Amino acid sequence: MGDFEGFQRPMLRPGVRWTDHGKTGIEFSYLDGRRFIEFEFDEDRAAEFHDFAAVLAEGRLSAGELAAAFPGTPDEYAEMIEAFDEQGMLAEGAKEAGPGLSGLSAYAVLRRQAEAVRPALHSPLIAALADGTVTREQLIGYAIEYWHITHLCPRALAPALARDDLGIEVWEALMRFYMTERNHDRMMEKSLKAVGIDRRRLLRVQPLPATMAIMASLGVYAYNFPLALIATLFPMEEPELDFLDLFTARCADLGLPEEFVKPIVAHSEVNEDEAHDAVTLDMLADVPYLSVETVRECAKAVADVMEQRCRVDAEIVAWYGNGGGVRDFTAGEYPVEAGRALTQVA
Amino acid sequence: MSESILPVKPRLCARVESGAAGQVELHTPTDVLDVEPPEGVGTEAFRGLLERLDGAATLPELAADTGIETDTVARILAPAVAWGLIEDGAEPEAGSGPAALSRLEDVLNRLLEDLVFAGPFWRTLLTEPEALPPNVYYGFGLENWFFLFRENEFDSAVLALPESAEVRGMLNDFYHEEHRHDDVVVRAFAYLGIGREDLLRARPLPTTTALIKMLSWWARTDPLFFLATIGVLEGRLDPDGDGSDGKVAYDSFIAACDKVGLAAEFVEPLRAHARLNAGHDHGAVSRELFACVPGVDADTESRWHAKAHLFMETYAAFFNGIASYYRDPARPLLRTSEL
Repeated sequence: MGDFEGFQRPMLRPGVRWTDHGKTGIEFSYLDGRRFIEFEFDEDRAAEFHDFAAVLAEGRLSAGELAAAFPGTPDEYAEMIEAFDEQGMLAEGAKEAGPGLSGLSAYAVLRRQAEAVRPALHSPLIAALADGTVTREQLIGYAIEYWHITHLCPRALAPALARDDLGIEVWEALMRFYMTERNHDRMMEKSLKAVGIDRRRLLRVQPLPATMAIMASLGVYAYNFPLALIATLFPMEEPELDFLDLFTARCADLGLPEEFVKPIVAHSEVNEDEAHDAVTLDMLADVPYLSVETVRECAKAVADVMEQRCRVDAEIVAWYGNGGGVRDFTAGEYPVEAGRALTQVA
Repeated sequence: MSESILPVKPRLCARVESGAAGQVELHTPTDVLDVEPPEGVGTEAFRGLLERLDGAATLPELAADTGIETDTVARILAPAVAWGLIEDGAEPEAGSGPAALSRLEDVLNRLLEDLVFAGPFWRTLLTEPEALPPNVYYGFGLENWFFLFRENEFDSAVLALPESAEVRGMLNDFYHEEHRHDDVVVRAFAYLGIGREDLLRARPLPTTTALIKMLSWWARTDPLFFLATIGVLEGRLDPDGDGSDGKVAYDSFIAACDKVGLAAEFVEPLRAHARLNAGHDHGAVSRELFACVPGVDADTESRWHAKAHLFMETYAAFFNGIASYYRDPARPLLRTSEL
């Protein structure tokens, strides 16, 4: 280590003392003298090295400027720095954080990202609900996918609870959120039971690829990038305006029982009452600093989850609208036509 | 709605315009929002407040400037914050990542002296190496092998570190450099009649397991703290010191082996491993990684300082556990299972 690799403004670590050692020497000492180095200089150069030590202790100069200010040869410079570093006597002098945002500002960026993405999004399911072309199977399919989301939700969130780098306020908020999301699958099971699909069967059913992609994303963020999990909670939880009214109306048109519709409406109201879409801001407001790169990655996650949500809707229309049916692949033939329609969703 | 979440110096991320009927509108790149003043605030004062939200003034300053009470300013801002229309003009509260690492190193350095080097293993090794029975040296090699063998458990957990592409790349390089270091060290044990198959049946001391598992946990739950420990784990004390036979000693353990005249068959593979690490300058890994960590907040830093004690207690116990167990020549070098 003959240079200052990794340092912006290298400095002598605060707490390192230096004293004259005879006329030509300087002793540097650290940790109550348990680490020390002595340098010997030619008599006519000792004063210059003293001055250099003082400059190094200030931590004002960059590595390049320090090299220029060094009163000896490059070899001597490398040797001196290596000796300091070996004893742990060097520290970073730059105090300021690099470019970053507070959690509150990051939230504003994420919301802007969401608004920027939204106009390009299109949900074939909402279109089918609006124009009345939606089928009974597609409505039931929606409930099945919704069940998958609620069923997978606790295990997608849980890994974040193991993290210890979020601050206690954020951790507590995540724990509260986790608690509120438990057992929501039971509400959806009531709905699906009304159309003859019970829990035992649901547990054998595979979600659509886009449904699983969303839950896999959230789960992996929870493991590995909890800030991105937090960032994606608002696009996951924000109420879809008009959706519920259209959904309820089409269920009535197609003769789906009230017991099917009620729990879905109830679940949506729970999320609204508990202001689930506000959790992103609530949690981010307790994060003092996010680097620009972190916010950028979170914004990508927000945009991605919004696109994935539209893909879920498109896949519901494609699979359940092409005779795919309940996705229990443990028995029977695979419905190839539905599979092709599903995998060719734009 | 999160009424209590407010910026220090609000900056409105929207243009303030007047609608056809004189109402106040907020224009964003994708939307136009009609906004109304709360009761008791006139439209012009309201508009004046919105136009002043430039990220330079605090809430009390805005209140003083506009004549609107601070509480009312807060009430006006809260929904705009929730809509994502407000950023904070105040600098986020954080300091430089490398400076945070430097302060953490200071804690680690002191604990290294107080607990590790003052402990029975290192104190004896550094001051009277001949007082340690050969089994302690062999045990050090063996427990280090267990550590290296399981290093993938902690190093792998940060390979996908999401928040910095630069750090992620460096960690993947580091992982690659560390890969199969256990196979370098394993050669040392042939002299003891111990092969890889024997090692696979053996288990480490609980003090070694404690270190491995704690690092693995931190790598998963507080990855930057884990990165800060690498500099300690990979650090070498005496890179240029000469061994008694004139060979480069690389670290104090190898120097002690040379001094007490342990068999070359045992020492040379360990020296080869130390040389590998020195060649990659692994002692500086934490610093190089933290050079790419732009900011660390005060709570995080304080948590790291607290954890540094737990880490160093565990690290010291790792070494002292070796001295304590292997000191007794009646104890087997390997604790193996039947299967």
